Amino acid sequence: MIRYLTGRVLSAAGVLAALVTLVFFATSVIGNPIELLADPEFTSGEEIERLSHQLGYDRPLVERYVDYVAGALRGDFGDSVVQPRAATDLIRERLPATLLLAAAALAIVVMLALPLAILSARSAGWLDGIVTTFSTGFASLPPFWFAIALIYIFAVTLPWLPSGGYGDVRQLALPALALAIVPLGHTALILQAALRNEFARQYVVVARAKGLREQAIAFRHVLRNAAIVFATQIGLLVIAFMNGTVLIEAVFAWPGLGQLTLESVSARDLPVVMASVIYFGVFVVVVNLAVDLSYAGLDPRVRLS
Amino acid sequence: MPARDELPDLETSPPTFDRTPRISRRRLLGAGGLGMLGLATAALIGCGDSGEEESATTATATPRATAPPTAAPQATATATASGAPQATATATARATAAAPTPAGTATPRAVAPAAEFPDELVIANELEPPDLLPWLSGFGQMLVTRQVYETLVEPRLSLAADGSPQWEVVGALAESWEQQPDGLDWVFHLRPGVRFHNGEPWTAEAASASYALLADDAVSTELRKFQFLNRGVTGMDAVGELTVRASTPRPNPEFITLNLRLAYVAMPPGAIAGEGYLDFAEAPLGTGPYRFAGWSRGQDIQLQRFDGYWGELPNMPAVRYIARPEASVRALTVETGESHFAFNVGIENARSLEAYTVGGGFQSTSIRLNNTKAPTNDLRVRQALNHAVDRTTIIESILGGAAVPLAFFAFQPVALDPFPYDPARARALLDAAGAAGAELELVYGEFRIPEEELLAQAYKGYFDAVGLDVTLNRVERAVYSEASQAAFEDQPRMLIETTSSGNYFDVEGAFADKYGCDGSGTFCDPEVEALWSGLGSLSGQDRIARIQLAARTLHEEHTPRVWVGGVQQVHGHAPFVDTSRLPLNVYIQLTDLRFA
Repeated sequence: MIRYLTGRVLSAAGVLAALVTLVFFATSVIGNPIELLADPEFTSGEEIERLSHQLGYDRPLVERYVDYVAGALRGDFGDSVVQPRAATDLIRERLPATLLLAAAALAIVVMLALPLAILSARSAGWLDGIVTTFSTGFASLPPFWFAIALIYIFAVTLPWLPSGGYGDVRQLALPALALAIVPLGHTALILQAALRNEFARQYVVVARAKGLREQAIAFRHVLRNAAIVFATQIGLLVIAFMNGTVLIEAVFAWPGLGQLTLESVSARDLPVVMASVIYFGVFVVVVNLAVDLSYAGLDPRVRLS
Repeated sequence: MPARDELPDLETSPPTFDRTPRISRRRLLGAGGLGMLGLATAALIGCGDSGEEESATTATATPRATAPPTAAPQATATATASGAPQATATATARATAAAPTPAGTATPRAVAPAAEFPDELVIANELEPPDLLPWLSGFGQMLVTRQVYETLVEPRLSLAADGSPQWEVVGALAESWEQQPDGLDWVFHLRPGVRFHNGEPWTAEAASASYALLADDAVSTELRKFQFLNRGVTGMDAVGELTVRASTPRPNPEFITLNLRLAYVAMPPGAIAGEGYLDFAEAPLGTGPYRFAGWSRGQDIQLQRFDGYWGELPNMPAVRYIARPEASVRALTVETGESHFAFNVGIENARSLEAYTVGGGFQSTSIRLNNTKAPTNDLRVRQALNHAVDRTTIIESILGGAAVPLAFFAFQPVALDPFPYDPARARALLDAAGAAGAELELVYGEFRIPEEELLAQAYKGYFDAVGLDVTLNRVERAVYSEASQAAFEDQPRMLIETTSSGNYFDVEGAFADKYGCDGSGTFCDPEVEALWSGLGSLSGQDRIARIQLAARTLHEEHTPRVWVGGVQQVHGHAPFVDTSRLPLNVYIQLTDLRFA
């Protein structure tokens, strides 16, 4: 068990080290952030040199890399080139909004996908067909289109909800739904298949033969055995949400990490872009690690092996 | 191709707006979404109701385009119908042309809004600004900051009845100004009786202190702001209680509009002392018609009317900015009532709104042609490329009518006809130059206007149609910057460039930027350079004549570019927001809007 845990943690650390290196050098290839930022109509060469020097972009690449890695270990990803603030401060300011949005979307998926999957797996007729059709439909929706459609329906046609913004629960509804819809379809389909497999297993036949009620079979046996699939899907969901926030936050003006990333890309604020990518990466690695570790709790075979 | 005087200009005939009911992308989206949701929820949304509403909306949607103003509202400012500032000027207060404010007394006059108007104007902006510091920034940020901070003078741009640009400089915090005999110094007589939002008086000392801060290299570097002011203004000294002397490194009347207007604002000296100016990032102070009232990060920025304002008080008691990065969503906020003015939504989104305005943020889009490399080093090829492009169709189909055809960079006193669309002539010219079938690469990005990708595809179609073999090369920003700023001989043969330079009154700077032999343009001819160099020190008819001569020489004898269109921003708004006073300026001032 300890070996399993150690292996997973070391693997995660290796991924993070590779991520930081990749992000640093990939961004360095793009060029000096100050030169990218400068509008030739309004900026002189002296200004570019002055700011480049102040922020250290005139130093050798290797020296900057060593400093960057050392800073990253302390949680310092350098300063924004657009405003006099640390990239980490900007990210920490926006992170809670993204986590709130992701949590709301996750809640929607979990609350809807699981009942839909159970319902579908337990019935073989028209209900299964409807659930499968809609799950496939949800999984196929283009998120951007769906987000705009939600605004058009719920903010314009039926003026029930605001078109965007941040601050109260009404403003959370549409972005959370837009973020959740595609993963909801995927998750329902995957869980449906997993549960259907479990319901067809021999132990379910035995349980029924023993006279156990269907509810007990589903919750005590089938769901526990399908828990690994569910845990894996949760990990994938978090990754999907992290990717999806960039688009959804921009559409709904949700002031989270995704929007910060987009704004930073638009403003060519490379240090913040780098830090955002690394934060997203860290989040994904940590969630994956947690999922891996949860396997040990969910499946005794993992612990024993 | 119609003659120039037959072309629609934004003054007399606003861009054609399609009033024919049609299924827009948004309606299609909404219908699809409704259908999907109707299926999904099985009765949550009544399809019948939706259909009725759709029909009703279509039947009553009568887009109203608000044309740019027919004449600048200031009658007595430094007005030169040519874009040239006078060496001596006396200005009246903005919006007080009918009743000039007596010297030394500010007589604010509020126009009370009718009861049915909202308590605040809500503006859907592109982005939430990173800060509210006064240094030169993007249009979206200036939409907020330039209501709080003010500068000495304001140039205002409109189109005259004949479509020619009408530049006018009006006083803001300066009542009058004159160029000194040496041509280098300018004396500004400041408006008396003006106070900052914190009660400090506007004086020559305040003007000088503001300059010292804004021109300080160390401060701008520390704040990650690029320095712009001290490139055109080398000093601003108090020479009296309400008189300052600004110094320029060379005789240049354009500095008051380019450098002062864009890069200089007044700040209260007591508040900026020490490192007090850092607080302005979150809570700015100025003399403007609105004072800062609050900022809920991620939600909104609030301004309140400053009742001690020196000029005409706007009739909108408060302003609130919300950010909606996506243009289509920004436009929708006007429909939902969440905002009353949606900034820069694009013509496609604006068309479904009840009211919208074309104007401001003017940018000139063109193709730079490298005259040092074959085949574009042949004048006949450059002329052929100009004849190959149908500007009218491009403007109607790609730019949605929110543009004017160009033969020179925008808003200069130059009446040149663009090359007529004549594919046969283009083919003949290419044949004569031996360039038929020539392979050409068109380099472009999509940085300034969202239509650059479509423009590139259209250009390829036009050029291929006259016998060229054009390859499109879309590049990233860094590659684009490197290509566009390389030495002449290293630049691409064709490069799409959309630029705002030349629209700030800085004609000489714009010439240098595009055609300077030591600049980054793709064209250099010492004889042509001699025509435009020194423009900054000329004024009046001499200046106009020189601009026209240089432009005509470039256009007819060298044809260094394919000028295509002057593109403008399109803003959606509620019908009760009156935009008729809005000039074609680069940024919007809320004193030009009102509830009506």
